[in-house]
Amino acid sequence: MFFHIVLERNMQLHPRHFGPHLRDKLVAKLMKDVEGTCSGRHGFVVAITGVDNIGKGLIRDGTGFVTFPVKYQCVVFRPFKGEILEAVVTMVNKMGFFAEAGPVQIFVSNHLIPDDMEFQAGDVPNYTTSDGSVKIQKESEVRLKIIGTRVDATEIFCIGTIKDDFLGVINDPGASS
Amino acid sequence: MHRLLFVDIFDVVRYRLHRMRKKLKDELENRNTVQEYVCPNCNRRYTAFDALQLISPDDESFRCESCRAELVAESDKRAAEEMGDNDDNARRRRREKLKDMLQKMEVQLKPLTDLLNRVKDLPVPEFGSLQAWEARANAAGRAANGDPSANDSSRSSQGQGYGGTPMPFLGETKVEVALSGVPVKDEDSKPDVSATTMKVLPPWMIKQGMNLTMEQRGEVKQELKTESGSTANQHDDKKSKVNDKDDEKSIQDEYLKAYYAALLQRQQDQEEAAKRNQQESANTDNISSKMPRQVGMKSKREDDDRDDGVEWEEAPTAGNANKTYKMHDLNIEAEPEVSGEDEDDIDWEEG
Repeated sequence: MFFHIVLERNMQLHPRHFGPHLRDKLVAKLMKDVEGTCSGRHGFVVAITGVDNIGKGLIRDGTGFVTFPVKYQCVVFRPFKGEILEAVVTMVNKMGFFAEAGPVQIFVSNHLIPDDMEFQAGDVPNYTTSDGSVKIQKESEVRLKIIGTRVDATEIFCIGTIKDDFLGVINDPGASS
Repeated sequence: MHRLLFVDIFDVVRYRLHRMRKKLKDELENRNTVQEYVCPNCNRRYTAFDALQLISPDDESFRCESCRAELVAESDKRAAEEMGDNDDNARRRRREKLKDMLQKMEVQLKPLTDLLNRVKDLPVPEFGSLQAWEARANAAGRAANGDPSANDSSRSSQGQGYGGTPMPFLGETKVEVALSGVPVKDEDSKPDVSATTMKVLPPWMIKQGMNLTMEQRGEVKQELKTESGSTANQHDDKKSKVNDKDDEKSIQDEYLKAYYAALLQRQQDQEEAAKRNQQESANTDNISSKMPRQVGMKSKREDDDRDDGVEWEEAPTAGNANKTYKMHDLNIEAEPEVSGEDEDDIDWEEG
């Protein structure tokens, strides 16, 4: 799920950036530092949409770096248990398959794949129904439900299922080619 | 006021049943559980959450982090070993319990599911919005304006409540009474018996410009007397909130009294009619056919049946007439209800 929230961060700026463009430098550095990172608490920071407030800088003893408390608005993405996501399959093996929904990695183990889908080893490992009408392979797009998340300080990993109503392949690249 | 949205309630009940069933079934089939993996060499256990670290770079299989042996999914292992230790036993017992629960649920909710299946294809009655209902109520009130009996709660409820739509429960009757009570506000501001029987609107339901009487707003009677000339809109919702609770209670009591009084009067009337009829002819079928209203009233459930049962035992009537009533009061004999679980009975003795 996406959220638009306000976060705060202490930015350290090298004295060489001090000058008329200090603020611009600070914002650019903030974007470089923060966008794309993941915190267990808020999820993945997708984009910074604005800087609310930059506080008074504080010179660090010894280094000359200056710390600015910065309040900024950003869009974060955090997966939740029970959430439905659309993801792209990245790897298929006999234990199940891995998929990515944006920055999030999701693993669907083979007992959470419908029983009528069988693993087919080979050049392109895939899961296929007995009549061959549905096939899950690399680059397939699937709709899945998250049934568990493991949230570390800097990492989020999810377990999903496609063994439920309206879940499964939503677009099969193998079918069109 | 608190009506059921029939479309929604049907869907809601069905959805809840579906969710209950699904939850049990999911758990039974170990659906939403996290897969576990075991290393056959060192017995180290992993969960699916570790999957990312377990993939071996060369053959895309899951490998143990310490001994590089290929991992086996936990459920496969259990299936191979079939019977296991204590842990497995506990699991099996849990499964049995779940299965039992699912079965029990199917059996015990069978009446409900049957009913749902029966109403599945029926069209849903359309009652319209509250505004539409008010408009209709106002129109009906204007139509009944010329009727002098509109002020008398017992008589008006008799005329409208029984002869009109059948009342499945008491709450709906209140709506009927309010229907006849609306013109009262126009005719005279003095609250009478019928006015007090009006249902109090909850404060959150009252909007600016709604055509309401004081009673509906939940005002107390004393206030009414002092400011009887003022419009209802001048009262704020705060005041009504304070008075809402006890006022509603008293209104309900009043209503019950009036209702039972009406019922009693009606029954007495009918007994007299029956007696007169008896003198003309001893044919009991004739009596019942001459009372279509009575028959209509009997068609409703529980409440009235119970009350009637008490009443008939008390009623000093000619034996023949008494028998007639009992005959077409089938519900009592079919399912004798425990009468008097609440204050209804006490009211009866008073009335």
